[in-house]
Amino acid sequence: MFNRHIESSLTRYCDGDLSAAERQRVDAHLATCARCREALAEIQFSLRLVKQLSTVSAPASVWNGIDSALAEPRGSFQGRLAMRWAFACLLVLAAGAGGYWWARGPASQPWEVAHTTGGARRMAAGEWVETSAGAKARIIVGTLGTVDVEPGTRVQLGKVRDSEYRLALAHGTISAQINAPPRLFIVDTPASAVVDLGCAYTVTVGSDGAGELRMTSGWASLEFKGRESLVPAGAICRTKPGAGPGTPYFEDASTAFKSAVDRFDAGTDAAGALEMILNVARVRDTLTLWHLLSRVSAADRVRVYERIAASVPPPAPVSRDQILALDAEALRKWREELAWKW
Amino acid sequence: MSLPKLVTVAVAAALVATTAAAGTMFRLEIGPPVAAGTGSKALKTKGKVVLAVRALVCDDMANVQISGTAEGVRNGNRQSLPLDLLEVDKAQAIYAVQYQWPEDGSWVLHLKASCAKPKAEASTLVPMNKMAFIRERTTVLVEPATKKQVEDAVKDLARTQS
Repeated sequence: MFNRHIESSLTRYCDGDLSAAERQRVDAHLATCARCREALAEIQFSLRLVKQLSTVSAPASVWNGIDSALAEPRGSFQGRLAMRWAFACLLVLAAGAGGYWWARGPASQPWEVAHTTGGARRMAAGEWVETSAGAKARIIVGTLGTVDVEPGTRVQLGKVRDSEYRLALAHGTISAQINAPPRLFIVDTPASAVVDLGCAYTVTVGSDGAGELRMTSGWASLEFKGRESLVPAGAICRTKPGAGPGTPYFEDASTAFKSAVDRFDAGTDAAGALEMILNVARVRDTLTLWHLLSRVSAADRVRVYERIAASVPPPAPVSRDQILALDAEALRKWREELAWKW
Repeated sequence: MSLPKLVTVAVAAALVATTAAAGTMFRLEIGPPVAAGTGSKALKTKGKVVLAVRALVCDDMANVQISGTAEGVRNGNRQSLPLDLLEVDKAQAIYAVQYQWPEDGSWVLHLKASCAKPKAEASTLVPMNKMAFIRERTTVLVEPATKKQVEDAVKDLARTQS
């Protein structure tokens, strides 16, 4: 059994320099070791970056410096010193030029987009990706993940700043699969911004600008002018232009519950809708109830509080008064306790 | 009361008692990443977190040991991969599980925990649908899962996902 970590062999593994037996041992270890798989992914990523670098010619002045140094009498200490300095400068300049090229090239066209109807190409911020009926596209979000663009969709590529990638979905549907720390990938829609918190999801925007976020794994938040809805895997949240994110609910909730949430968000018979929500909510539906705490009147807030607390009381030292006063820290702590049931 | 009725009542009472006792016994609880805390430094800097896990009912939470494996079937071959868990809050025995198993195949996460005081062991079998956990099919056990329970969970998931 081969139990030792094999990071020291990974570079030769990537270069194809290992013998068949060694390669087999590394393969076997990789199959069982997440740490070494992660190290391998990092090496492969570095190799891809290196392959993008091109050879850069040194400026003439550098060569002149070297020529002058060579022309000096052999054995002169100053001459040897000058030559070493010139060589060091050459290396620094080459590295600088290479780095500049690498940083400038992809930075001006940071997006890579592949269409099912054609090949892949790099695109710049501000450009639009449009798919016709029956056609799809895939956007590579740096090393964070991918976004699949469904047929009949229009999405604008945004600026890439400090590793933050931003898209603007005008209409249609995109499915994102992002493996990155939170808040590095954001999708702007006409009604809200979808802020990735490490997840996979689908966003649809209709011709009226209204949207729907459907989470398949992890979680994301919908944000608009200080209003925020947290949406974990298995939940849906709708959003409307001007109103921002609606109240999230789990897809497996009862039809009566989901219909009541939609009515509440639409403002049609909000009182009746709230009554229905409180009557048929399951423990898991505290996701919806928690969001309602800050969206109902003070009188109704007490009812919502009592309904949630009957399932999962606030954790110590969070008090009822803090929740009813919408203390942000108290609400966060209760949400984190409730989330174990989501 | 007739004998069949008496048996039924006894069984029902035993079930209720077992369920109630389970709620006060050392066990693991899973939740979405948000359960581990939005302010958590570990979650702010790491990606691919698919679920959070915490221990419940232990007098010495800080020393609870939690580990796990991803148990799967891939191309017809049974595989078992050790999981690296991300420590979120050791004092509360809260950990996060990052996505670290192959994309193809059917995978069940087998999470195991031990509590020193009172001495107890627990486990949880979490079927995965790619990167999402299937809560309604998750099995919470107040004891170590048997090999048969693990194999059955993997087979069951593979059957439904094939």
